[in-house]
Amino acid sequence: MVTQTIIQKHTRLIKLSGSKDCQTVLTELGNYAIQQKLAKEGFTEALLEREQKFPTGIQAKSGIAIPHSEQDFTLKPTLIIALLDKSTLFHPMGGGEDVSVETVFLLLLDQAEHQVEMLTNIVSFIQDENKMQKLRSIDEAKDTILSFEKFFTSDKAG
Amino acid sequence: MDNKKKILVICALGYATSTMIKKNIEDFLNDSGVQGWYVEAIGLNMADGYIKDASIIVSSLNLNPKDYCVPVVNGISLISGINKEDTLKEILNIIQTMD
Repeated sequence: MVTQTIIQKHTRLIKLSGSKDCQTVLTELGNYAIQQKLAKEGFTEALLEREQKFPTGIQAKSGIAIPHSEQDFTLKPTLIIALLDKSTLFHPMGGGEDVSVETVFLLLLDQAEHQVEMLTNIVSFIQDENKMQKLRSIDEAKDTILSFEKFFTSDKAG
Repeated sequence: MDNKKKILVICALGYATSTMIKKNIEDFLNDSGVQGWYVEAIGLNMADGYIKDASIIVSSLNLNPKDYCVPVVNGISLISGINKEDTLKEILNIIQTMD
């Protein structure tokens, strides 16, 4: 269940509680994205299918996952960062052991070139233990998501 | 780019993790002063036509190296940061054997 949300134009930080497995996490996040008109109908199914075929769990300093689907489903480019109250097992990207995931970065991207920068920023972010810790303390997280906002600057829709 | 050798980065869809890995390798090649190489990112479904002129494949997927006739490097560390240096060194070593 989505219990707390900090909403910015292109970045959402949400707290997700009570999700017992990776399918539930993805279903809740996918449905949230559709309900918020960030993604088209069918996104949740696409997300689940894609995760099954090509899992996105990554063992960085802490366990994370970066689920995403085809760009066609994106209505509004957004980074949804979900903090899980209990870690959930995701299959690993690229093989290996299952990853115990605490933080999910759901990527809703379009074709725009500037998002390369955002993806690069996510990578350096997940490799930074301090920033990841900061993200998990909700008060300070606002600064963090503000720093992601700048990577969506070329959005003209307003 | 005609005479340059290609590192092909393959992920599932060709826009997210492959972009992350590509950027990492490009920065590394730059910092290491490696010339004559370029990096391209592609999704697995579209990869067939791009593989034939690739000299090295790096992927975020669990590819079977036996399916390819060029070296295949697992690129996950370039996203997670864990053992990243080893992966970059592995790529550099392969480059050096080919240059």
